[in-house]
Amino acid sequence: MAIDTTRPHIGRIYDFMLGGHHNYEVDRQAAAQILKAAPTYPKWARANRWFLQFVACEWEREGRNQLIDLGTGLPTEGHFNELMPQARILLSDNDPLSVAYGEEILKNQPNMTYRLADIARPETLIEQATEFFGKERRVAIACIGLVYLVPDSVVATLLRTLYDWCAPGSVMAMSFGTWVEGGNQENIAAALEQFWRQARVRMYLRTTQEIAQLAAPWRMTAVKPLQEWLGVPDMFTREELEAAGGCMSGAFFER
Amino acid sequence: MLGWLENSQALLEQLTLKSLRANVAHNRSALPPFRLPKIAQQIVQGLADFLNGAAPATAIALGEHLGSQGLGLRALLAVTRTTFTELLRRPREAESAHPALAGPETLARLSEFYTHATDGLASYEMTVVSHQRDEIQGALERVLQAREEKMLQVIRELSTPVIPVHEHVLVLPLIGSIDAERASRLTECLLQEVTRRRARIILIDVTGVSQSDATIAESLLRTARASELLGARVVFVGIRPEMARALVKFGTNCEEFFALADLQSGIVWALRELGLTIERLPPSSVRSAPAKHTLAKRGYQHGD
Repeated sequence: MAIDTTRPHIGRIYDFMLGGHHNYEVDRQAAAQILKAAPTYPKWARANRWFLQFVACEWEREGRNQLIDLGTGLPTEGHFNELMPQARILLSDNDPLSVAYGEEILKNQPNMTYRLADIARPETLIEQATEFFGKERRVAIACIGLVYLVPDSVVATLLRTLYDWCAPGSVMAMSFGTWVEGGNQENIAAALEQFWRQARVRMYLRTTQEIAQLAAPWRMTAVKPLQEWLGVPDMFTREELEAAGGCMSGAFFER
Repeated sequence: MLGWLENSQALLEQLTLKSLRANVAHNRSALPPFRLPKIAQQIVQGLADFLNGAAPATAIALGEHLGSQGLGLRALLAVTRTTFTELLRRPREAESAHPALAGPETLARLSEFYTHATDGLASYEMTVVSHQRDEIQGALERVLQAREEKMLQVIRELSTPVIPVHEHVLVLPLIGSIDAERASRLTECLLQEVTRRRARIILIDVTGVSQSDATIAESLLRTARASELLGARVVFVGIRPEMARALVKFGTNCEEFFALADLQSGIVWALRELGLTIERLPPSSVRSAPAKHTLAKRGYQHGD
């Protein structure tokens, strides 16, 4: 959990891809290399953030007001804290810089807290959730733009632990990386390699069935590509999708 | 111009929305596609106000407002381009119904509106760049400051170790240099421990103190006097020759304090003062330490 601004960081690279300026030259240089192999990544980053906003609107409409956001990163514009200002929200990340940034943003919002937590140790997260929500455990969990950076065993343990802690009626939204049917396998391999070389992160693509199995006993209720959730099915051309080889989907779950 | 506007507002909204959707990826992350209809309405309403005589400042303010909602500069430029292309493409049919449509005056006014809106949006984006860079720098500084504070706290704790070696006997081993701040912390910490542990004897071990001057001697004597006011007897142990010379040289009243050669002598003396002695036990009553293989059998690992 060290802060090193002389090396690229995936959170700040992601911010750059979103068009943000919460990043350093070293992040922008790494992003430039990643873009050579994955030119559609900025669009996917936006689609992910927009899916988060779609989810926030849905949950607001459903009257959900207790939320856990996993792997929050930098809660820049258009995040849960802006979209659901009345909700009780526990934001979490393992990056101290993101947490420091978030604490400043949330300093006047006592109904929200941003905690340092490593999803590989879900017991810490559970302690924080218990402390923050008390006995009220009917929550909505946002797992957006996260699981494609996390190996199976960690995802499975995290989601199972949360399932056991949550009350019935809780829900979860997730975005995940998957393959494009007929997509260019060499390109996706090159893109994953670049993410590793530039930011030292491994990416994991999974089928819908694999995600459903990993998330069990959470029950998957709906799944489709992000651009379809967002009502912009033409956001990516067929050529872009095939060349990228990978794409992202969004899924909803119930407990 | 107004008659034309009333009849063209729906068409303009439609064109604007179509262009916004086609350029969705040029918007910032704050503006999801499902909010684009609202943005299209705002742009066309702003245009209507401008054609109705609103000041340039309102168009600039609209541009800033659009920027604050996440509209990207390239997306607004695309809307401008699409609107002009469409209006210029269909002047003839529209002119017959509304003579003012696409006339030079209308086009000039439209161009003026989009220029001002673009200026406003560009200005907002520049502010955002600077604001966001300040935000991340501020966060970094806070993290580093918190980390430094934590380290200082650890150092402070390590620099004022008060060790209870027996009931009513405390040892204060000092290492390194002692400035005014550390001396003050030492006194404060020691007085708390004296009260808390009802200490009667304090051994201040100065073997590891690297300074030998009047300031350090005065600081330590002040600490001793304060402790004695609480009823504890202070004994200095481990005074090195350089410090002894400094004490004499600076005229310190040596009758004020009691000193012993080293910590071992100090502990023996303190116990005796409390009516206790250290004596060797007969070999039969000494329990030997567990052998290494015994520890291993119990599951301890090397280094535990």
